[in-house]
Amino acid sequence: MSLMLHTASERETAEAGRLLAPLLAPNDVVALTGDLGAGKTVLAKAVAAGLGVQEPVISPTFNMLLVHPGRLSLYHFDLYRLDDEAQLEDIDFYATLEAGGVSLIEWGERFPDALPPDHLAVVLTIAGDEERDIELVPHGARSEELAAAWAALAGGDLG
Amino acid sequence: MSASIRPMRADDLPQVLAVERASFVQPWSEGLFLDELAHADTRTWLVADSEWGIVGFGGLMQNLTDGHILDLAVRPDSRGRGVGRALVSALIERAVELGIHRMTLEVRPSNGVAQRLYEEAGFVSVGRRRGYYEDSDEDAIIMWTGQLSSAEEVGTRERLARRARASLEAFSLEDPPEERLAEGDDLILAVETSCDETAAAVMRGGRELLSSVVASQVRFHARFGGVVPEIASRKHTEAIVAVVSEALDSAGIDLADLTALAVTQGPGLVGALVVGLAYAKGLALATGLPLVGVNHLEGHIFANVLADPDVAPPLVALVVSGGHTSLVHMPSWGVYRTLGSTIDDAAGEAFDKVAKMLGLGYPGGPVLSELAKKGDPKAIRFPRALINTADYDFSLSGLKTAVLTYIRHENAAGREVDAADVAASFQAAVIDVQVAKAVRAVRECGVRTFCLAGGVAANEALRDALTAAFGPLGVLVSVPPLTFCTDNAAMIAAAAHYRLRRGELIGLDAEALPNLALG
Repeated sequence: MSLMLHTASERETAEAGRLLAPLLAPNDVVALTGDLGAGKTVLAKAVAAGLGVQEPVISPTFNMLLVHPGRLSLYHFDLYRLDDEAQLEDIDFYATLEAGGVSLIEWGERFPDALPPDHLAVVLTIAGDEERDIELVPHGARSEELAAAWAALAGGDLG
Repeated sequence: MSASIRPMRADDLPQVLAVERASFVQPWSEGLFLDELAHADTRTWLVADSEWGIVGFGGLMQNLTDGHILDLAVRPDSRGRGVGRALVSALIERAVELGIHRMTLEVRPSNGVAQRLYEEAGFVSVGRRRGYYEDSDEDAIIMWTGQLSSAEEVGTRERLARRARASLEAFSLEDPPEERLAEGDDLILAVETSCDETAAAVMRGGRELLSSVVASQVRFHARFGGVVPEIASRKHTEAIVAVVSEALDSAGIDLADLTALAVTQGPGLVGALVVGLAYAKGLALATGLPLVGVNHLEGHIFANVLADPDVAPPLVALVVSGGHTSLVHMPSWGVYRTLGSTIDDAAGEAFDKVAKMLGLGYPGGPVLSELAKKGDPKAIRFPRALINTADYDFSLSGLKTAVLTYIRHENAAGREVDAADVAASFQAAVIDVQVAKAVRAVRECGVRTFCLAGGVAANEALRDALTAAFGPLGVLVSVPPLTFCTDNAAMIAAAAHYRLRRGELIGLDAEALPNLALG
């Protein structure tokens, strides 16, 4: 079962991210999927702001993992540059997911078997210059609860 | 601007006692020191003297052919600068002159720094004396040297004396004048593993590069076979031993010849940084050599210093690479102020991602720059983010999205996208902002030297644009040779030379700092 959000502008995409932040609990895992420019960075920055992260949320593409302190620590992964699943061990991927913060994983779909059994997949699709379709695909009970709560908040008027 | 070792006099005692009291829980009394000085027939007491006063002292008792180090202390503000090493070295030299065959001492098991120093000087632990230290009921470790006349001890002693001389010459409690920082014949082995490259280099005196090995280099492949793939810290682990020994071999240097070790402490990938740091700490522990921690971005700036002796602070540097885009003001050696940096994507990353959008592969930044030469930089007007803001920050995420939107629109309209025009126009948008901010930073900081550093410094269009902008202003533009633009350890060794001269060392408890900022 999946849920669908639709945003009409970059501002609305950011607003959706801000609404997700307060719903997040320790060890929640959100996998962000979408083409370059689909809005993964916009969503990630908004979630970080909602978690009270003060420092700039720069792209994790180069470092593969950037940790930002906030209400909960934000573990911002980008698996774009990894070639095979074994390299996840090198960045301490599995232990970090369970370290008590919230994990946002960009390009996690490259290694579907490595994602934990319970995680929320968020698929961003470009529907227009600034319009985006955001599909929420929960895997596991906790993620279903999270997706339902988020959709209830963000499904209404984002403007 | 140095320290020297000389015999202790009675009028030194007020200062000596202050050092003693600052160093030990149960300090010796003035009476005890006076008694020692009165027995010059069997006692040798030396002080390390400097323009900042007495910064350390040590004493030796002769018992026929045995020499016993009684006491050794360094003033707290002067530790980590080789004063202790210089005193031990001088005491051993004096012992040899006195006809002493072997030397001994006691040291607390909890005092690792002292134990490493004595091990460096040739002392070996031979046993324990139970409950020797009354204050903590701690045992003493008993250490002895071998026969001072043996070839091994002579070699150890000579190396120790060489390092001790360098420490004494460089000794300072202030930021020394710039000209002195450039001097010295220290030999530094540097290790760099902050990202994809495993690299090691050996350098003399901060300028003379004796070797520089980067694991992905073709020559290295030819010698060790196979390809050293990117990213994985496991690969750093596999490569580092060979890379370091290749660096030492081609420099014709033995570990025992070195003055210090250096390593990139951050910023970078934590999994990659820890490999280099753990290896360097292990070497430091095994050899007793001092360890210098270097900021990777500082290293990139020193690639310019290395390439061009005229490059010296005050200067402004733009560090642009796959992972970094920062404008840094360096008013004097060792002082850094980050004026601004990217708030989303680094420049190199934006090049790589736009290359991907244009179907040029990944990472395709250099391919994109090549393609841009054939395109019209004015063909498409992409946004120049933050070009007019008062700060020195950069934003490239919006530009990346603008390129994507443009490609989508053209495709939707059934028009063919001219990839060369897109590449040239995108590159122009990036360069315009970087040049505008660099020029403003140079003006506001009032400097006459500008350094372009990092992997993207290899971009010809960026080099040309900066040269064109700064030329009329009479500003020296320094661009490192291509081999020093990308990650290497030579630049880390060059930066470490200056830190070593200032006595800035890190301990064996130092950690990798993936988010380490510069200034």
